[in-house]
Amino acid sequence: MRPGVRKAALVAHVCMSVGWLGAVAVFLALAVSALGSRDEVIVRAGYVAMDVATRYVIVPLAIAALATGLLSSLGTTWGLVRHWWVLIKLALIVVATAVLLAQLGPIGALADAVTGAGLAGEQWRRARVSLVVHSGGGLLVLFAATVLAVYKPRGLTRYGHRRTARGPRR
Amino acid sequence: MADPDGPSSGGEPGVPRWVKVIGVVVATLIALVVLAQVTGLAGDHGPGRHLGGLGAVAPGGSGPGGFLW
Repeated sequence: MRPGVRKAALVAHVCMSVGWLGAVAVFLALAVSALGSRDEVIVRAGYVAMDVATRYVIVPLAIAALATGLLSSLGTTWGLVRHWWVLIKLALIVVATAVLLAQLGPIGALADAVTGAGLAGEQWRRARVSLVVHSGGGLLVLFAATVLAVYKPRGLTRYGHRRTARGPRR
Repeated sequence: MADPDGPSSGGEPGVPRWVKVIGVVVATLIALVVLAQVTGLAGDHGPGRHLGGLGAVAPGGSGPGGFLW
């Protein structure tokens, strides 16, 4: 990629990735407050807000972060599988995105429940705790990915060593 | 995220120590999750739960106790 395009892709990737981290932090705050509150209005508003935020902010940011990350790595000498930190960060983001997409059903079900019959029952209590656990875990994973991106710890994969030994591709 | 300035050095051949440490931490976490599933400490929670989703679960109604409890 040309330097200007590389910079633009990197700016987009940083914005999407950090935006995703921030959006998950907000989601966690909503999940904790909705779990701990006995105020029906706060609980209803919380789960509806979580559903909207997930569908229209968090999922688009996650997919955009993954896409711009692939673009930035494949379009530069970092590559996708040459450096351990890039490979591990990719694995973290893919797993985090998969878990996020798997959570769409439970989040939507909770939002539907608060606008309908309510959240009585053990099954719903577990689902509400689950949102806190998943968003807390997701926040840690995204933080770890950010640390890897900033520190870029050294270490070539076997493929990276072979590519380095061969020299730059023409 | 990739740096357009590119990598400076790949270091020594072989798997770096920090990668091995991450591998041990991840393996330990997976083992703990599996253990929680086997012993029943995690309840019915786990990756398999996502396959069914909550959409099929009956909400149980609000009941006389109110909206949540």
